[in-house]
Amino acid sequence: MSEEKPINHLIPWTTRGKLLAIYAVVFEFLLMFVAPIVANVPHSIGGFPGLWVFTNIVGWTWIILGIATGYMKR
Amino acid sequence: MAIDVRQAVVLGCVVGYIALIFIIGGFGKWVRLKEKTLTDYFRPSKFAPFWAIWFAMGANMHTAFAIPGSMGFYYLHGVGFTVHFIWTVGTALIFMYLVGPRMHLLSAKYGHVTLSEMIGDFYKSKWLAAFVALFVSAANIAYFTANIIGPATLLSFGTGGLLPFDIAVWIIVIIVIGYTLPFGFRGVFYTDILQGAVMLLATWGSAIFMLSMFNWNTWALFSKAYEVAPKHLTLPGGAGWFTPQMWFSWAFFAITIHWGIQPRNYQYYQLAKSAEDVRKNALWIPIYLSAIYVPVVILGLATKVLMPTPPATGAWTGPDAAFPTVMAQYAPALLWGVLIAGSMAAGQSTLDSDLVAHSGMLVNDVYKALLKREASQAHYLAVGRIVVLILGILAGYISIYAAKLPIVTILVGMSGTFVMTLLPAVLGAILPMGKFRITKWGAFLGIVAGAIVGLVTTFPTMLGLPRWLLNPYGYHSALWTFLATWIVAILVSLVTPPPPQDSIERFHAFLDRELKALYPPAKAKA
Repeated sequence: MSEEKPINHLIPWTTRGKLLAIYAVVFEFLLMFVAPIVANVPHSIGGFPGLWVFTNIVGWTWIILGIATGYMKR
Repeated sequence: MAIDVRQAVVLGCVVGYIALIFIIGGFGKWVRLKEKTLTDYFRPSKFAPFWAIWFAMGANMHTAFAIPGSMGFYYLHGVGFTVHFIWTVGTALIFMYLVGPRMHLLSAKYGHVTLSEMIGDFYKSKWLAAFVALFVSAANIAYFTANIIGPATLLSFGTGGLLPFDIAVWIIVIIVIGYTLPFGFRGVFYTDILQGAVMLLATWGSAIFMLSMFNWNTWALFSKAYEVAPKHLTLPGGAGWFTPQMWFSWAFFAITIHWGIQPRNYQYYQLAKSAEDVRKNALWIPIYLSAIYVPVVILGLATKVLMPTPPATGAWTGPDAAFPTVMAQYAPALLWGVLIAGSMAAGQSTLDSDLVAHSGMLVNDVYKALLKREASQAHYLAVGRIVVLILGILAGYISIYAAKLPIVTILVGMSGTFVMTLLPAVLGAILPMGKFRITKWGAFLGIVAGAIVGLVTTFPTMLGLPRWLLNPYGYHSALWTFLATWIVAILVSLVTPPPPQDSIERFHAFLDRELKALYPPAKAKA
């Protein structure tokens, strides 16, 4: 290895690595920035809060997609 | 003092749990050291099956906050606690996935015993390794005590005062010392598997019972909670904590990052048989981490319905006391006992790994590297056990002293923030960043700058500074700590000598070769 050719890989950059990185950005964005907006949606279904439903859907979807991608062909 | 049936059942559950702990972690040949060396005691490697790591590491990562802390948190704030997905999923699928396999490969190749040794090896600085060991150990002492105080309070409360708080503290500490002192991290690993199971049983068992009190109708529970405390079903929650700023800055910067790079996790990454197992664990462990918190919604909201205002008198008062008080009143004795054992498991499964991981850093990177360089393995092993004993007793002593101080709660938050300041040092060592390199001075001064900003934005009034510096502009102090750490680390790295070429070859080029061999890029395969 030399200074002229720096190593620049990340996961490394396999197809599933790219997908997982995209999930990380998208799902963290949904959890960190969209969820607080959802919290202000009126509770239209009895006592069930939109925030609780939304974060659970996002969280568990991310988990399932992560596992599925982790086992796919590279 | 006469013991009633309920107290006897609770004590029986606790004794049963302790007996199981010692059957699994105190006698078998599986926990015995394979070699009487510092490495085998602090960092045994490549023997644990994937499923067992998944279970044990999940228990290790969840602290006493899981039981009973999270129930009190839900009771106080409401459904905003589903913010946990930011860290129960994000930590694993971002940080553990990235750093775990790399730390495993490097330790297997170069024999690093601790996280701080790995950092010191890359930056060619024993002083930096020693500084990291001392800094993180000092910072995490609060974490030690939090994992004792919560379960000890519940144990004392659950036995109706039969076991005073002080005695409960020493029971919890002595059990942990009992299996970590002789067997090191092997004792930690095997007992964590059991503790992980007990934690799941306690949280899910309690939730099923609570739901039975609402005729198995989750809808009715939520509706009733909405009547009693409508703020609990939205943001900023019952206590106004979850503002949009605090929502993401607390969950991500104060928890997600440090959770992935804690020294205790470094030891766990080495137990796996391969880097691929570490990677798979990162994919699967969010299920355990999140599943512990799934039933908490039922526990927190049901408690809010059954006891709208927290207990103001009695042996335990305040929001944290509400859930235990309800369970003490309504739950069958056996379930109540399992819950108390589950709380002990939650605290002890983190305390044990913390004790061994931090003792390992102090012995390996301070005592062995700087104070007594040429001694036998038997000597280092003996010193290691003495340090485990001292840290355990110290944590017990502080827990009793600090139990009445609210500052402990704040310090627990600070410890994670302090560990987060290691991120540039860690990523600089294991993650190539093109031509840019984190330097020894960048890593060191980044930690220092982060620690100072963390203190200033958490304890401004105690330092004689203006109050507005507390979580400035509504953002958690961890965000400001993160920014200070990285800005200083990057700026200093730009003007100080980079790590030697030898380090780049041994770390970055080595990882590049190993990872590309394990996971060939798509175009290379084609």
